[in-house]
Amino acid sequence: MRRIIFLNFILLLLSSSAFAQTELPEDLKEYFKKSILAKVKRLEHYITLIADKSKDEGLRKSSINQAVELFEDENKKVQISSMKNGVQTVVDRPVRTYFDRLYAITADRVDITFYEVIQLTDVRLGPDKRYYATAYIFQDTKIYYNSHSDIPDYSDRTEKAIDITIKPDTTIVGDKTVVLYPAKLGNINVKETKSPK
Amino acid sequence: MTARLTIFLVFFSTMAVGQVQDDWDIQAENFLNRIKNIEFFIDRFNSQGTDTLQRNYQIISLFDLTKLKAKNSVSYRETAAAFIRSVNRRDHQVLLNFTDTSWYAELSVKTKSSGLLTCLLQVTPQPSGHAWSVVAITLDGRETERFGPNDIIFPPNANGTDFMSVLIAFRDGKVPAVNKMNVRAEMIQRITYHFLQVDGWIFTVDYVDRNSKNSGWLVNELVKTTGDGKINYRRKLHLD
Repeated sequence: MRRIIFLNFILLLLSSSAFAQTELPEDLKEYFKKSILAKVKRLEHYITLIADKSKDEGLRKSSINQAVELFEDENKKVQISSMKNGVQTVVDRPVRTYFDRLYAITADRVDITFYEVIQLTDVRLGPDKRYYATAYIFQDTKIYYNSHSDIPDYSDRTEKAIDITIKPDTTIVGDKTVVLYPAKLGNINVKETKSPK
Repeated sequence: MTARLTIFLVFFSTMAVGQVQDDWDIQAENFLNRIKNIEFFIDRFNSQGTDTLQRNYQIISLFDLTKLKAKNSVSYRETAAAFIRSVNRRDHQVLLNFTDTSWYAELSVKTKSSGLLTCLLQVTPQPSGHAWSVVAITLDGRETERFGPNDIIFPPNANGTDFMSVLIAFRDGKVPAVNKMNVRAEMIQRITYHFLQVDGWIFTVDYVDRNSKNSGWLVNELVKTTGDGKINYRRKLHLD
């Protein structure tokens, strides 16, 4: 059974490589969607883990490298927003700097969770034969300066948009040429930051 | 909620587009949520697979309802009703298309020298797929430079992160035309989409940031055009 599934998967990828075009076939769309969602969920996982001071420090540090590897390259930027007295400030940081700073937040406890389902736009073919989309994540941040407190000293809800790139990658499996479509993350933009009600 | 329903009853009574259902406010909950991306705006406008009445509700939810409900906006309400009638006839539904070349994104970019850089982009077909192409850059409304569809291009999803990649390219000195203007791009202050896709109509879509379900990318201006209206509008945008 596993072999049949794998064969179908290879056939799907081979057939899809013939589409240089405008409208993507449904099965390829579905495959892209799953690939993007898996990558974005990993990003959410790493953000939560890197920020979580209750976790092993070595694990948190090594997760920074793994998180950076989700991106196209380290030059991609992550916007960081914060709310102070109802005023939102936004700055851009290179991805590694973003994760380093997330790791080093000065607080006793940092809880980051994601409160809604990831949303995706359609996947479109770009001028460089790569595929592009945007994913939206919904982040809930709570920072406690005293880990025994139930009330966070800082909290916000942020919606972020993520550039997604899928670069077709040709590889040889046995005696066959297979096209793989790994999703990579790009710039991350803050769409909205709110203090929770 | 009752006030909202009343306004819509008044609004739709001028439209003769069919009866207003009593459960409008329940149905509206399906449509009224923040429109995060202009592509979601286009999807909702097209509302494929829905009937004419449902599509009326969908399209009306794409308007800035605060503006539409204002007491002094009777003529705007009438214009909106006429627009909806023209794009949502039972026998002919007008749809928007992301890859159409007759819509534009206008970025107002704040620069360090306090001048305002206006950058117009258009979705253009490329040998492979599509791209957002910079078609004109204007400094302080006077110095305009125009470009061909392949001169300065960005991926077709650049709109999703509010053209962050365009701002970074400007900042990093990767666009010679901007370098030549001797300005440093700081931030994108505003994005406006100009839709010239619908025959006889021009509308703009702006981001409305407020704590309401009727927020995100919404119709801000709507005008009926005749004759050279679209040619003049393109001139106003420094496109011709």
